[in-house]
Amino acid sequence: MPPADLTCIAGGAVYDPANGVDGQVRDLWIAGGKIVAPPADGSIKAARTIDASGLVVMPGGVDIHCHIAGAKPNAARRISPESRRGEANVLRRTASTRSGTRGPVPSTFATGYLYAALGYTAAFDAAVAPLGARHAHLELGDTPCLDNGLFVLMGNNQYALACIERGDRQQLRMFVAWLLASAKAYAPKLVNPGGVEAWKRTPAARNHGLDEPVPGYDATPRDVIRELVAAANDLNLPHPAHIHCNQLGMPGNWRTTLATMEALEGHRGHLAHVQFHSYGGGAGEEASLSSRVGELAEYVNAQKNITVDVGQVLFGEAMAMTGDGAAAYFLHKLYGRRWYNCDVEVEAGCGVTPIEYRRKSVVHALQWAIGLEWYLLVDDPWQVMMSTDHPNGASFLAYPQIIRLLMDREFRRESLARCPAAVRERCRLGDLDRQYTLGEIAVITRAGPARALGLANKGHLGPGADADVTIYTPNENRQTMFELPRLVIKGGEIVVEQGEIRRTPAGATLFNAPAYDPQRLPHLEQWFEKHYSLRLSNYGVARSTTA
Amino acid sequence: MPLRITMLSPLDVPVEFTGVTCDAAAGRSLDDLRRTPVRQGNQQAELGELFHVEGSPGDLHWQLVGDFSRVHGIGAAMAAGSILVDGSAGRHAGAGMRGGRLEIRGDAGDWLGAEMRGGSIRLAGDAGDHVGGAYPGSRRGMNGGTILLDGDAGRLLGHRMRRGMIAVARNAGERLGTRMRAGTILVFGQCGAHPGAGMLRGTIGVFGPQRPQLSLAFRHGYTGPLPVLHLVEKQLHEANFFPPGLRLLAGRVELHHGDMLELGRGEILLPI
Repeated sequence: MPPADLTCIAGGAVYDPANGVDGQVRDLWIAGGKIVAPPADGSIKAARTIDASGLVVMPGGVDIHCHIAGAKPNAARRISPESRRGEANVLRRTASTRSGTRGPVPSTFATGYLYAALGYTAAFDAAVAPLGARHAHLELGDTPCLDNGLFVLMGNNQYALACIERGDRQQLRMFVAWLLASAKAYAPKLVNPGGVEAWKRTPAARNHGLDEPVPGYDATPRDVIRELVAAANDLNLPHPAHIHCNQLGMPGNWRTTLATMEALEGHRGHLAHVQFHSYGGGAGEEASLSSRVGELAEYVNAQKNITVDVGQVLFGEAMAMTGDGAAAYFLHKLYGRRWYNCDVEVEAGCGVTPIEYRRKSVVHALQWAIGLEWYLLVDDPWQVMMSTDHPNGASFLAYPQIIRLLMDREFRRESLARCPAAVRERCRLGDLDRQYTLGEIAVITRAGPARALGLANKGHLGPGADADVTIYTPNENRQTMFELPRLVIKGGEIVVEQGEIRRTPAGATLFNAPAYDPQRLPHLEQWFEKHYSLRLSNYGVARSTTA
Repeated sequence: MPLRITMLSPLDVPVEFTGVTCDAAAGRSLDDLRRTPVRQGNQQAELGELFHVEGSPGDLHWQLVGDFSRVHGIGAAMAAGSILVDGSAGRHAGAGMRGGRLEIRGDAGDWLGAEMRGGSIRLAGDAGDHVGGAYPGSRRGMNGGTILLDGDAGRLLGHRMRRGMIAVARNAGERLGTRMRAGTILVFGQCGAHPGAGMLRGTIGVFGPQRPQLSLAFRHGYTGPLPVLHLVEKQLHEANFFPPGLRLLAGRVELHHGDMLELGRGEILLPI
């Protein structure tokens, strides 16, 4: 007896790189919200057949790095009312959706709808302070259509810094495990490790180096990276460490990025929005900026333990939003625009400021080119992932445009030709002829991120995978093709049909809570009661709060 | 024959008029114009359901008859033609206007001429807050054109103003010309606290009998006549704007530079 909901997506060209399928015409079978093996008995008929002949079938998109929930997006919405004004920025309610606003930082429900309409079915918020975790989870609960998770900030946590200073590795492991469970987080996040704490204590410390001690601690940022990454790897986390390197955006920061890769000491680690960390030039000299992607990509090509997402910049209004308060302050001073800052007690920082990337600006156009170089210079697409660091480099809505830039070298050339001439001298983009295939796009937008995140049931279409499927209408213009999927299926249900939202299922929140030695808890409890503004019993996020 | 829009019955629920302007209607038929969608509260209505519309849409001169104080956005974003409101207007009248003329014979609500870029507005009565101001989050307020008020104005007049002129025959509220970038504001009555707070450039004149208290971030720079004020006086005269104290423009003034906490290139002028 076949399942009552047995569905067949018939005759589509399937791109499932995790299972070695590259555009072959296959039928895809779904039951109980999962991909299932084709029925052995050829006479069994599907209860519902979706005709995908002539169409392209891929797993649902997985965004490994974006900022969509919690305190930072809210601060951004508050300080940028102008970006949501006017009819073009309004999403009117329909029978199946709530109203909302667009702009660089869409409202919660709108974020879910817009991601889904783009063919994405999972997204991970890349930086949440533990104290902001409850808020972030509540917002993720209001962000439908997306399975989700959040990365919790650890790289400037004073308890972690104290453990590292004492060389107390066991206590640090316990703390990482405990903090993941408390925040119901998916992975540890390091943001400008040690550098935010240094900046909080000495305002001039914007360019704090990897080997200078963090003020007040006998430990350097390099120690913080090495120890936290080792602890996370020891805990066998599916995505051990998500790292935003020190000195974001500073000319000459590529050496720090390379040193950070070396500090992983062969452990698995993911470097986020690496575009912002690949700059040559003199420290403090904006005008001397150049690309050093070549050197960094060469290192990544030789080190299979490292993955990166790009943090592509596109021209237009964006919103800098980061746990790196120092970086946001720098941008605020540079461009004179509004700035929001939060000193998150003893555990993290936060900064938000609007930013407009202009094609005419040599610096901005170089950032655009450097991002594209990353996609084109990393040999193995499984090591490089699509991101705009939404909304920092651009909105996630720009992904189709990036796909076109990667798949169509003439389009890329034309775009580069419209940038200032100095850009072509300071990067190699003009010499790069590589074009991505559809299979490679499927890697960098779903299969690769899912594998880097350790998601066994996502990013592929083998039996047992979640039935998250996106079906595209092929088009020579790849931007058009990826902007408007024909169908988006989430957990076996049709969620989007040609841009129209049909259903808005709540996504599941994924988190990791590794076991730890409870004997080690009292030391942390005593420290907590001494340093926090709230009681420990009010700190952890309950399971019921998560979506 | 000018187009006349007459209120059918008093409005309980406000109506949004943004986009209903003479230049936008030119070339359309009267019936078509009557079917123009307008938002009333949370509902969509047609212009002809709420108002009696008669005359020629091809005529760029409109008359609005009745109490329009619950109609918001009259003349907003208009680029050409003229609208005469024979009564009061609601909020956002003339907001984002690019050209043409808006005349209101009664009072106006908040945001009169907010972020306007060109054209002229004449108000016979009183205006609310944010005349020629910037909407929340905007970097610039009024960026061109002229607003002449025969009555009083509220707070934050000319907030973040960048270009153009606002003249008030009577009093203006507090925070006049806050964070002004350039342009001219003249008040012929008194003004509330903190005139010119955070101004970078531009000119504010307060010519009423009661001198405002200036912030310590303004520094006295000059006392004497300013020939440029003759030209302003002439301009206002030509616009039939005759506030009491207009002649003070021809006399000696005190010039104060500020706001020294910002760029400090702004001026506040006070009569002697």
